[in-house]
Amino acid sequence: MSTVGITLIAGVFFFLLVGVPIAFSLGLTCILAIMVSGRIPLMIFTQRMFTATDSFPLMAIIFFVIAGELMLQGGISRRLVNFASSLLGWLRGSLAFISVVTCAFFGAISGSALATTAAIGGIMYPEMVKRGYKDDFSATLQAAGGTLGILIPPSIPLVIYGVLTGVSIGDLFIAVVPAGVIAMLLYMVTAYTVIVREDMAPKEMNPEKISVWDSFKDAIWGLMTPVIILGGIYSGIFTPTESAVVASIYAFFVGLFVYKELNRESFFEAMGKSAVVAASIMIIIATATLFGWIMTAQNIPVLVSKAIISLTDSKIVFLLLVNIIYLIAGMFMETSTIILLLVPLFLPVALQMGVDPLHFGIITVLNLSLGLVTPPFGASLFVASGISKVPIEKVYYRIVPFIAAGIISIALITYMPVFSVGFTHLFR
Amino acid sequence: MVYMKLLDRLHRFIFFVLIVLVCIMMAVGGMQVFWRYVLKNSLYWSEEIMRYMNIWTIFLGISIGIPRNSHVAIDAIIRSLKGKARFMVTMFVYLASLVFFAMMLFVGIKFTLYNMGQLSPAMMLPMSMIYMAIPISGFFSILFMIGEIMKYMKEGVTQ
Repeated sequence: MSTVGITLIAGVFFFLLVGVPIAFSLGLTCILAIMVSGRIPLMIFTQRMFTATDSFPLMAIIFFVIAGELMLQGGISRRLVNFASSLLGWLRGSLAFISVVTCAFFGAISGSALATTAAIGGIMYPEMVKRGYKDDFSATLQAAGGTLGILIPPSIPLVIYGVLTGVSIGDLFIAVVPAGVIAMLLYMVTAYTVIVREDMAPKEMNPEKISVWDSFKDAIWGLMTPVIILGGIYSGIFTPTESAVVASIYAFFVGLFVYKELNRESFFEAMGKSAVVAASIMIIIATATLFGWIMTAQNIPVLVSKAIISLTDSKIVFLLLVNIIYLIAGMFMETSTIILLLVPLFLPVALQMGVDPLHFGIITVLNLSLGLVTPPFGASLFVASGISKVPIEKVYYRIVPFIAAGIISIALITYMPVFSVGFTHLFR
Repeated sequence: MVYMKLLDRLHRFIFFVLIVLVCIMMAVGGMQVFWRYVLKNSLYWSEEIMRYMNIWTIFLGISIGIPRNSHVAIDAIIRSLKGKARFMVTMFVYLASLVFFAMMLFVGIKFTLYNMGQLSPAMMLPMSMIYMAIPISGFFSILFMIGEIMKYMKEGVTQ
């Protein structure tokens, strides 16, 4: 490998591990690589960062963040919790089920796993502890449930994958639904097993009886969001980015006129906060794109593809390899970085082996959703530990059965394309 | 501290600008859909202006993301260190970030000047108005980063 290639890889590991923020680590590594090469003009640095951010499709990200934030300020989370508890409140271990199902509901409004953990966990964690669930288990459940945020459409990582590979974002949003539902069910089963085995909350008072119809009428406004997004994209009325704009305008009106909890201050706060959150995602995209460009200029993707193909020519082994690499990368890095850096390396091989790029996208995002809860650096674990004040080590221990459940869902989605690509055929 | 007070004002000002930008982007996006789908008459400028406002939003957002702690990092090693080693590594992280922003500032200025005459395709805006977001973001980020270092020197070292 060239010296530039070595600089790229050594540099990025060094800066990341020392603790330089991910976006700046990638950028600094690129500057080093440009200087080492001596041939790449320095202006590539700003030029690539600029063209990466100058993208209409990627603007879907900021609007999905806004839609989620406006719904949150408008008071959607409490209504989703009420609806979920009216459906499931009579079951043993109901609060655990309600947590997971509400996370899935919220995932249909938000495209982010961390936002989902923070929004739903903030409500459900204190509730669960009050009703006799162990605090470390309750906190960890919020982290696992939160990953549904990127597995139920809309999903920010899928927007990034779609823009990067040219796969239709609408198709990706549909194809990910079975993965989200399977992960949701497996997390519920896991939670139930733990609750029964440890005999948690034996005399759980069932939450106050709420009428299913009343809470449904309240929650339906929020739950309509994915219908508007997917309906709009599929009927050809708008592009994914426009669907995100419409979703955010819709969230604004629901918060203002239906739920009536959105006021001037919370509206402005939500808009400004969303801009900062989107900016911190986009700067990672910008520097990762630059990084990817230098990597491609050094022919690294071709070298990696050749190396993988020389290892195996079996699709099953290749996908297993991809799963393992994603899981390891997910332990250390943030979702969009991994997509931007690893997908260009793997996708050519996947195509050569006859894997549908749509299927590959779902495999990628499902793996990375699990990466969000794998120790040591799973970001959702830190969010859950932060809102609950449960020490992170206890969360590491409690997450293990959920990781097992996640691996089962990855195996199902990876080796049974009917659960992703097959599902989109129903809508054609 | 005068510097911190000014920085706080700058922070609030940028936050306000972001709110304005994002609100306009949302309105223009809504107009784009309405004009095309309801009035059957596409706006030629809407997509371009949204993209450019988004670029300004991103680069301004980066700078106030620093005091708002929105840039994700792997901080496990720093947290496992104590005393002088921790101080040194933290300082290195701050300085490395400063180098990144300095590159945004200097390469960004060169980049803006280099493309001075270029006009945008739809609205014929000078492209330097948009390219400028990068060096300006670099400059503001340096200011906020210095603020973080000062905060750390004052409070963090004793931890």
